[in-house]
Amino acid sequence: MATLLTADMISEITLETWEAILAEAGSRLSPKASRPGEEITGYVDIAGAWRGNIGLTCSLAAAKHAASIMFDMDESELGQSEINDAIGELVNIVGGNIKALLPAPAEMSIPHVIEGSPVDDPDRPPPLREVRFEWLDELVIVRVWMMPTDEESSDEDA
Amino acid sequence: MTRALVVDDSRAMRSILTRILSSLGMEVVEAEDGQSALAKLQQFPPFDVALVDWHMPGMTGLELISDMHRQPKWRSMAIMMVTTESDQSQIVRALNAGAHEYLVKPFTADAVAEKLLLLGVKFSKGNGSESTMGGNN
Repeated sequence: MATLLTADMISEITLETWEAILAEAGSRLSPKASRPGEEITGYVDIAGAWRGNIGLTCSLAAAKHAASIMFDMDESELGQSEINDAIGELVNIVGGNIKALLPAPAEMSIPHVIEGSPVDDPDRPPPLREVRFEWLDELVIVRVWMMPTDEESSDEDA
Repeated sequence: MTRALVVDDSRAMRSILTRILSSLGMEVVEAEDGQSALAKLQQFPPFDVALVDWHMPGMTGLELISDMHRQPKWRSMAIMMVTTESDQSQIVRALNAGAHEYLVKPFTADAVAEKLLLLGVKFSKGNGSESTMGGNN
């Protein structure tokens, strides 16, 4: 069921979110990027008929720029709490719209934001989907990880 | 002046909504969660409209609008749920709990104005003229 979630769907949701929330930047998110800069990640967790996480990773420069637009503040005035809040809200919006495409019923967590990239975590499996973008010459990545539901886990244990 | 209460645990989202509503000539008060919203409702003169997020720590937006709907003194206030929850079943839950309108994130400023029109909430357009249409009952 989860394989119905395509990279194109994730790309469309992310582009729509950027267009609505960050359009003031005058630069569109473009679906390409090979540059480095995985410096901050926001996650939401989904539990229910589908279980997994959705992560939004970007460079600190991209995160600051997004926060500056969302708070309508100069980048020099931003603290870490504003940057984390902005990335948290962006992953909340992208994640919520991805969740709508996954099996229901499922509940989504409040977002949490950490320094660094999911690829720094050796225990984290490869994502089900990964979509890379470039925004204002900076990297933005959306990743979706799928985990077995409680039902699937108990089937495996049996 | 039309008065709006914006309830969202994200400061960034409150900031965006406050800018949009202020640009429509509305006076805005922000609350960071359900409990804070209930306190602001008691503390301030009546609001014309409340924009409420669903997922918040502690009291959820759904619990908040159920509480608000139970209080006769707040029944005339229009309630708009502003959330990423877009499943039809979730929209029905919000409407049954007392929401009058539903706005899915991400949204544009025009989409907010359109929903306010549907709620019959008065606001001023860019040219200073007031807009209103219909009611919320």
